[in-house]
Amino acid sequence: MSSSVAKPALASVRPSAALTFVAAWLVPGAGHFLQGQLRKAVILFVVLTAMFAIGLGFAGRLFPFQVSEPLVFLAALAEWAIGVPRMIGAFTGAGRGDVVAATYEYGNTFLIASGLLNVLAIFDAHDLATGRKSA
Amino acid sequence: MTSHLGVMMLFAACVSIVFATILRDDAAAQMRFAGRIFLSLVVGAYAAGWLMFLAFGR
Repeated sequence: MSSSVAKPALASVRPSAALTFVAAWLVPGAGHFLQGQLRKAVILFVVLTAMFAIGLGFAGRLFPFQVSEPLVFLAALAEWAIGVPRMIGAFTGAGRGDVVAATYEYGNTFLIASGLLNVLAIFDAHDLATGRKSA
Repeated sequence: MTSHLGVMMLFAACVSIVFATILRDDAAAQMRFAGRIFLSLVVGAYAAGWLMFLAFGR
C-alpha cells in the first residue's frame, strides 16, 4: 500500500519529457539519470563517452556542417548528437583528423557511432519520461 | 591499436553494451543479450570478411 502511494509522488517530481530529452542529448545517460535509472545512466555515460574518446584517440575527425558534402554533413549531424563531448572537442581543438593515420577511419566510426547510439539513448529516456515505456 | 580484429571487437563490445542497456532491464538479461549481440557482430564480420575474400580476394 505504501509503495503504491509513493510511486505517484515520485513520478510527479520527475522532470518533463523535454528536459529529459535535452539532458540526454547534452550528457550521455543524463536522461536515464533524471528518470531514476542510475545503473543504466552510468553504463551509457561510461560507454558512450569512452567511444567518443576512443574516436578522438584514433585520430578521427570532428566534421563541420558542410552542406555541399552530404556525407560530411550527415557525419557532423551524428557527431553533434552527443552534446557536451562534441562541444568539448570543438572548444579544445581536438578531432582535427589525421587522414594518413592508420586508425583514421576507425576513429570516425567510433565518433559517429557514439552519436548515433546516443540518439537511441535519448529516445529511450524520452519514452520513459512520457510513460510510453515503463521503468 | 591497429589490429582490425581488436578494433572490431572493441567496437562490437561498446555497441552490444549500449543496445543491451537500452533494450533489457535487469542485469542478467542485459549480460545475456550483450553477449549475443557481441557474438553476432564478431561472427558476422568474420563471415562477411571470409565471403568477400573468397569472392574478390584471389
